[in-house]
Amino acid sequence: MSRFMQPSLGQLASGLLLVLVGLAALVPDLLVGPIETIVTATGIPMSPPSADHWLGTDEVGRDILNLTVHSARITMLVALLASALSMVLGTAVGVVAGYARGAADMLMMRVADFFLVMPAFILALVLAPLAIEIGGEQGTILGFRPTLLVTVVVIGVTSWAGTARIVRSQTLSLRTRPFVDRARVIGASHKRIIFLHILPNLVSLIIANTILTIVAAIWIESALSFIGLGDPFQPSWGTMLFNAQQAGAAGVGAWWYVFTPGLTIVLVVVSLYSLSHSVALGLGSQRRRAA
Amino acid sequence: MSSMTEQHQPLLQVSGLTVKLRGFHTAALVVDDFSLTLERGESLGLAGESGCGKTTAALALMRLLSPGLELTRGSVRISGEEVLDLDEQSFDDVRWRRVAYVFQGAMNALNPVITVGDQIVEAIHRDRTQDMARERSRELLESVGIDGHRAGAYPHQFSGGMRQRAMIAMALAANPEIIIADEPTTALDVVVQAEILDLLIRLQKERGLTTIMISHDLAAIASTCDKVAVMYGGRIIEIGAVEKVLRQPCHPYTRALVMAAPQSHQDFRKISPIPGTPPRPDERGSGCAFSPRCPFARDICRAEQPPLRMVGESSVACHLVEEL
Repeated sequence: MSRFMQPSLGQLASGLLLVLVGLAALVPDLLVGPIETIVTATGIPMSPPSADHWLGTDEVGRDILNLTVHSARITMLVALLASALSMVLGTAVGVVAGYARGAADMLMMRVADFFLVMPAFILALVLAPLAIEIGGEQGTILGFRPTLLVTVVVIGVTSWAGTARIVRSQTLSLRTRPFVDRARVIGASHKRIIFLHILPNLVSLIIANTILTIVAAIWIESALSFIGLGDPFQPSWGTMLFNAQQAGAAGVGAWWYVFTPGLTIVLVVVSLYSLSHSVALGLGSQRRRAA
Repeated sequence: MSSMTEQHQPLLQVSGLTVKLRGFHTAALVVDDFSLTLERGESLGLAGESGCGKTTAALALMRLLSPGLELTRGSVRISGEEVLDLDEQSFDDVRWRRVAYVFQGAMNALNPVITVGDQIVEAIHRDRTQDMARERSRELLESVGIDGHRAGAYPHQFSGGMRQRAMIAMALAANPEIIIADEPTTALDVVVQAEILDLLIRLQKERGLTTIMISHDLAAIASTCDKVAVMYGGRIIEIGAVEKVLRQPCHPYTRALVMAAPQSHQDFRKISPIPGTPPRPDERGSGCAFSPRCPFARDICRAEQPPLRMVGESSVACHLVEEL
């Protein structure tokens, strides 16, 4: 982990940005005040950046900075929930398939292949109206707004298969290591071998991979929201882009309206890639030491 | 016969152990008719080139063969009790509690992400509480010459010699009567090798352990073992007391092996390697497996497998032993 302990300037900047996004997601009111709605909006519609509105306003006069900061919560919530779902599902399937081998492995990997080729958008398009039918447009399913739940489930369901494949291949290697044989000889149960000897050796791999899943989840969430499958009542960066497109922001030269959420997504994604890279490097140096 | 065995039962009696490669039509024997007897407190060295079946024979008597190998016949008796017939669950009580194994390659046999102490705790049988097991793991580390406070260290924080000591501590965890050490000094520098060998000798004496040491290092065997068995092509070709076998080897292969070992007082030019390589298990003919490389080989050697027979105080499998 020594390389991870001496971060480069880029990694420091990325880390700082991620901290800011984290703050925006957790305590947005402290940073920019309560979220502005059509009723509470104070600005002149579509006004460019000024002293009052640092990043301009949207078509109903809401402050773009205010919206962008408040959007972090939904984007990050969806991304983290979806990644957690993908991580748990992918790791469980990957470890069991890789450890058990044989027919169980075969079956699980064919199921994974099915989900690997399933297109996230099409699935979301099919599931979104269904979820709204079940939960009602204003209602909730399991405490989530229906479209939000759809986004989480769709991202989780379409991205676990990749994690499962990576975890399985590493498990295949780990299960043949002498220390696993030794543990088996001593009389350790399968459960014990999986939880004590295999999973701890997978942690860095799972973390690095999960960060990449978060990146993918942010992309998909933004894209789904951009085509109008997001929650219209809770802003995310994708929803903001959707609104900007609906209001014709690019056409009337309101660059601040398009650039702000767009650049935010790009910066967060790049930061996460950088973080994942650092973890992967840490993983590499740990491997070298172990070798 | 039965009255004799009742009077005296050796601690370990292996007879006719035979292991074949699965999926071969011809009899591809990796271990062929492996037999030996060890009394309590005795130590045996298992010598031979790589690929002679030393490790396979040892793993077979621990019932740890990999799926590609199959035990076709043989018997392993510990204090007279046949253990190869036991079901897997009952054998779990024999393995590690009565016969423990020090695995080849101490680095790979330790999990890199778990502390050494916890891995020893894992080997201590579970009828102890966690605290007792911790205490015992510290004692075990102390008994192999590692400070008990190092129990919290990870394998990469240990040197090669310390890792090997930790593996030995792990083998001692369940107070076994027999320890099989597979290449315990390989990949260690000579000074550390000497320390590990000293440790093994000390443990043999203090705990009355019966040991089998697998090694291709004849000097290591000479300094730690009472008996030596030399293997070639899956068979024991010479077995007897260490001083006898290594000082006056009877089998041409044992002679060649002794000549091939460098000795510090020897002129290095006198080292003579054995030309050729050991035969593959599926390519052995009907004769003596060593005959293609043997300088004395005659027609009978190529045609007929020589049986292991008593020659003086040791047993040798060679047609020509009286003439050489």
